[in-house]
Amino acid sequence: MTDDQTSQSTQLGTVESTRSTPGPTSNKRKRADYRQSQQQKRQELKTVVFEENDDSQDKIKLPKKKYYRQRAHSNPFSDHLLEYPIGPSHMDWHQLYPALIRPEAETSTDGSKQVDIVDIGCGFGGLLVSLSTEFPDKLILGMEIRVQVSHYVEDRIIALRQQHAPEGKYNNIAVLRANAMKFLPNFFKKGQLSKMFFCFPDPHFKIRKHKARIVTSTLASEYAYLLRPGGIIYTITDVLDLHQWMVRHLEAHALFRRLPKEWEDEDPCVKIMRKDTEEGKKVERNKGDKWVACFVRLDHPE
Amino acid sequence: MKHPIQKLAYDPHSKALYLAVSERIQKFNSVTGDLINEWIPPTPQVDKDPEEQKKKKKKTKTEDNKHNFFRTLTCSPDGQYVVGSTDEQKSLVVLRADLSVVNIRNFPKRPSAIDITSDSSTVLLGDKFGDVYAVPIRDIAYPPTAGLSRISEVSESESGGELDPILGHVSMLVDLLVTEDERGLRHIISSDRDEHIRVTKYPESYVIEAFCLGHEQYVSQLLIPSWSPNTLISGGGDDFLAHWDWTTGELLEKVDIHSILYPESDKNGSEEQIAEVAVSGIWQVPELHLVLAYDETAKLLLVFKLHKEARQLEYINKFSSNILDVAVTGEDGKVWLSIDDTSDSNPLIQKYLISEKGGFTVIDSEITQRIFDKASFTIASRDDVVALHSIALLRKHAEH
Repeated sequence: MTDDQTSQSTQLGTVESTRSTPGPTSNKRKRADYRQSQQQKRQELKTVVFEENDDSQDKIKLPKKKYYRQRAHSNPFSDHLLEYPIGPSHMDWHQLYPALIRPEAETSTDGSKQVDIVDIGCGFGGLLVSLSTEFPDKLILGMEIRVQVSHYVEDRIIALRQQHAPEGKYNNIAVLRANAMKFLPNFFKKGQLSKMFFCFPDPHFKIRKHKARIVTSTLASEYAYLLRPGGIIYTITDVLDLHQWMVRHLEAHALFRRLPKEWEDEDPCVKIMRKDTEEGKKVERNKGDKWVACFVRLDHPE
Repeated sequence: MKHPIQKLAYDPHSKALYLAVSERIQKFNSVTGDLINEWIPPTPQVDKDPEEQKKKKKKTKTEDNKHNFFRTLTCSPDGQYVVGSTDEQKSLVVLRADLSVVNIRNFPKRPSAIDITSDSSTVLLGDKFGDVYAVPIRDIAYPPTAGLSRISEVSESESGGELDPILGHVSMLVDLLVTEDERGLRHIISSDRDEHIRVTKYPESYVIEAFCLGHEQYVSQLLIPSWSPNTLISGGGDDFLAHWDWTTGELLEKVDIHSILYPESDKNGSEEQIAEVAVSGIWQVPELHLVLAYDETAKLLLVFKLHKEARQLEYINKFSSNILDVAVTGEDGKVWLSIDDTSDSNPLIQKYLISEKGGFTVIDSEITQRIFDKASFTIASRDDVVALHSIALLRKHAEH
């Protein structure tokens, strides 16, 4: 939250000093104003459960992506000002799934719902939205390290929840700003997850940067810890070198086995991943290649 | 003045005391105080043409000895080897008990913690990047008299083969230990700057068994007391020591040490400067069932009792001293302390007898004086010493 406050105050400063100048600065101001009003709305509506018979005339509009642009890369090693729980039992999931999880629900003890599917580096949330209706009974979480992008997804989910209040849709998806390379065990317990998605991750081309890649054999051990036996890792990328890297690292891991092409062709999630992610659409438009690889979490090494 | 002794290691089999002083290792007979041997790292060949030498010197401005300093030092459980890691060359130095070289291997990132498996076969090394490597001690017994050229040969051929990390944190690895239970099952426990403690099977390091979550600051020290093998004591930048059952990841208790270190400070008062805890060492005195924890900022060594089967650490005493390292002998509460003292009048090494109640008494001062006379070497000023008390720097200051 401090992050928001600081960025807000600097933006206000800019607005103050450039009020009279037209041109690009007025765009800047427009963006600042928009972000501020969205921020306010987000605070108010984040944990609101929209009533089924909510017939308020003014439906919340879907957010506009152009106001949330941010540099596409983030250094996963830096000490970002992130909020994360000390451990899974300290996490208040009601804040993220207000319609489905009671306040202060003890996820570890009572039978209340737990996050089951995660989208690591969810970007603008295209996959999340599609998964929401594909798995209406499951809790799905998107994780994104870029602040503005995570705000966009949050605003998108709020708008969708309100627009679809009569059908009670989109209550099962949420987004968190988080560094998934460092803090996944703070959020999830051993064997809690059934699916993990890695869609169009940052390729980090330089050899020196390869440790920053989200799939490495050492991180795979952490994913194996979080996935239950039979759980699936999904990967898709338009960078052949990164595809080969991910396949090499996961195949080398004793607790993962790659699933065959026939399995990929049958699986609904693979279809969604190809078609419904923003990056996937972009690659489609540019008629580029997309490489998919899926891996099952084994109970014991083979 | 003399260079401080930054690390100590004691081998109970031979009663040898090893000292790491800057870039050298010295071996003493701890009973007589005699210097047995000394290892000084091979210097780069000097007989090349002087022009090239000059160029080289310019390129590596940190050529002076003080920078390739030993950060870690430990003896193998069987007493056959002494192992340390250095900063500037980022190397792991494996020596035999007579200080002849087994091998020297350089790593891509600075090693930050080492431990040796109970069968004395493998060194586990964690680095600044969060990766952990398993390095077998392959002793192809070279004659101890092997010349310098021989040593560089060994190090070259050894560092040729690339090692893959067996596990990795995405944060600086600060401490690690390897443990073996009565059934022979082994685990690596590793801690990082991101508050995490991880329990991994070894050698099946693709299996993470548990995380011990509860710290809110870097975790710089881990200890499993030998008389309570399921217990883990950890400390670092937090106001407490954490006491775990590491086999399940359960936090048994948080032992507040801030109030012991700083009894006058009122934590609730909105004081501008609240002193920060920085635990730079945790050791055990198994024969007395004591746990020692040192805070490098307050310069206090705290003594706790951990009764067998007990689920609580009991604070019993504190001892004020500017300590760099402690070597536990396992013999009737006797410990060696390396002391950072710039006054030039006091020995930089002392032997103490710790009582049942946690009291400290100086013993064997004649032997200590003999060791001190031959230990270390003279330096012009403190500027020739690298920063020794640097644990507190691990505290995070968020960027954005």
